[in-house]
Amino acid sequence: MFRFKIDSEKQVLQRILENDRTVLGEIFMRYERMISSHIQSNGGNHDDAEDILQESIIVVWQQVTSGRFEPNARISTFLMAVAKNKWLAELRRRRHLTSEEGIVDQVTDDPDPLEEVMVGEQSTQFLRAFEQIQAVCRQLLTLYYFEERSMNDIAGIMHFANSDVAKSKKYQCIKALEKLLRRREENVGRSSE
Amino acid sequence: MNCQFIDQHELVDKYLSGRLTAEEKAEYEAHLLECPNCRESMELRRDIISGLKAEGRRELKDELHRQIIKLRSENQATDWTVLFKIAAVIFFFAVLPSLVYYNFYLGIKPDQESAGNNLSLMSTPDTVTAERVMKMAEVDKEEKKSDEFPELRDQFSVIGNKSSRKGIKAEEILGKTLSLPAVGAGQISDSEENPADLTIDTMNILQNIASISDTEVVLSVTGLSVTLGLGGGGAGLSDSTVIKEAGQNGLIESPRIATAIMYRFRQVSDMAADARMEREFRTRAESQPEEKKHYFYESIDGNSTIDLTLQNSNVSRDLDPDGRIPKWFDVTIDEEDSLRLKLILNLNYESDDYRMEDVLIYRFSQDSLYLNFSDSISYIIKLKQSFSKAILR
Repeated sequence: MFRFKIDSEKQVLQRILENDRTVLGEIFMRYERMISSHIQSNGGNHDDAEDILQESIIVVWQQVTSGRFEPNARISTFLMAVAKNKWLAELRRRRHLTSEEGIVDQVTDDPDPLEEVMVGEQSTQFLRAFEQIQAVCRQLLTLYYFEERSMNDIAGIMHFANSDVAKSKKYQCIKALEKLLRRREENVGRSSE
Repeated sequence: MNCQFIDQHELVDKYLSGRLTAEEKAEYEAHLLECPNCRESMELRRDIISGLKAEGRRELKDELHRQIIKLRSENQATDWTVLFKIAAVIFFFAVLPSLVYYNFYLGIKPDQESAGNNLSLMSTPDTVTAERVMKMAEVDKEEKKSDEFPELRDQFSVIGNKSSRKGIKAEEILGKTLSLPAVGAGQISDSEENPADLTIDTMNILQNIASISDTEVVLSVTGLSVTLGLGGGGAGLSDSTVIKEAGQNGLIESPRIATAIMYRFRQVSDMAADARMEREFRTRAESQPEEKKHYFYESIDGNSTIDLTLQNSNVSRDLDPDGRIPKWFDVTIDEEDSLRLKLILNLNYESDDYRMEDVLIYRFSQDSLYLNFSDSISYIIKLKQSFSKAILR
């Protein structure tokens, strides 16, 4: 017995909206050859193609979840357009790095090492605080701020009674996260004194 | 505007996501200048959003990566299963029939053979001639046409070639079950002098759609027929080999490897509809003179038919009148060479989901093509000579 999933693009869009993340791999497998053939015929290799496709899928995901994806547009067309742009940007970046002018720019563009440490420390602080809040808050805040979903969508995905409940929960979650970060900043401030 | 108002109306989020009007923005920024607490809150929120975006992105990418690994390992596992099952098919339909042949057709007993009666099949008086085999094949084909595929879901049973020569006891292998259909042809050597005396000319695996929904097609095997031939190429049957359908993940990795495992994917389970379709296409094909560049061709298994009209570089086809998978599509030839045609298709799925698909068409053999639609559905179709000449120069 063999099973072949034949999801139409609309079904794929619906699965993204329902936060069915198993669709991610299916999108990848479905469009791998298409994107790969474009990247590889334009100076890239297999790894480049995989990276670009993964990045592009994430863009598609965000576009759909945030409601910015035009409902009548086709995923393959959009994915191809994103991949092409990303690959062009990557090629430009590489050319920039290899050109003489690029090297000078690169040197001047190098971040201040102290600034890098601070950014790294900030990110670590954030991750620690993020891990400390409730799992439901982590999901809710990600759905709201990263995926830019509406409160209605969030209420549906997280089985809240309605969007008002989702909104109120989001308020509590962001405040909890802010509180933890403020406390950590204070602790860091005290220890440095 | 004060701190409480800002908090209550979520102005920080709105400001950071650019959702404030110019007026609100100016007012909020003016407040920030004179309120260090609100400024600190805004900066903290900005850092949080930036962290959430980075974390969300990382999480999504990790999930995608996990799934790619999982799907690829599943594909590899399938490939191994396929190889194992090929071996099983070869055993049942190459080794077993040869034993049956020896014991029941030639009546050779092991002790006779060891006594030195080394009989060549070609020299056996009762040998069936190539012409007779061909006639039998025609009879068999007629019988198959009227045959309703039995509903033997999940079962791989041998229908057998009803017109097979005497001595080939189809019932001996009837009911043997295999878990995977395969197709192939091979040779069985019955003596060192005549390695190709007995050949498996065709092996037809019949599949049926067990169920079909909007999202899933489940195929089940309903039968298999084997045609044996004598004397190498002389008795070969040319038009009964089945084929098709790779899975969504591309079980046929290389369409140019003729030994690849192939599955027939029947798009309609209604045999009556098949028959109607066949009649319709045949009539249409016959009514169209060759010079109008109207071509009729059919899948190797004879169940799927495709009607094709060439109009300059535009090709329109009717693929499946019952329209579960694309009912029709327009084809524009984008790129062409002798081995590969890259076509851009407009497919109509008989719904509002009208979409463009890429299709790759490879030359599979001298007279057959391999079509792959957006890496998901594949067909191998046998071409009529006219099309073969027209496109595959």
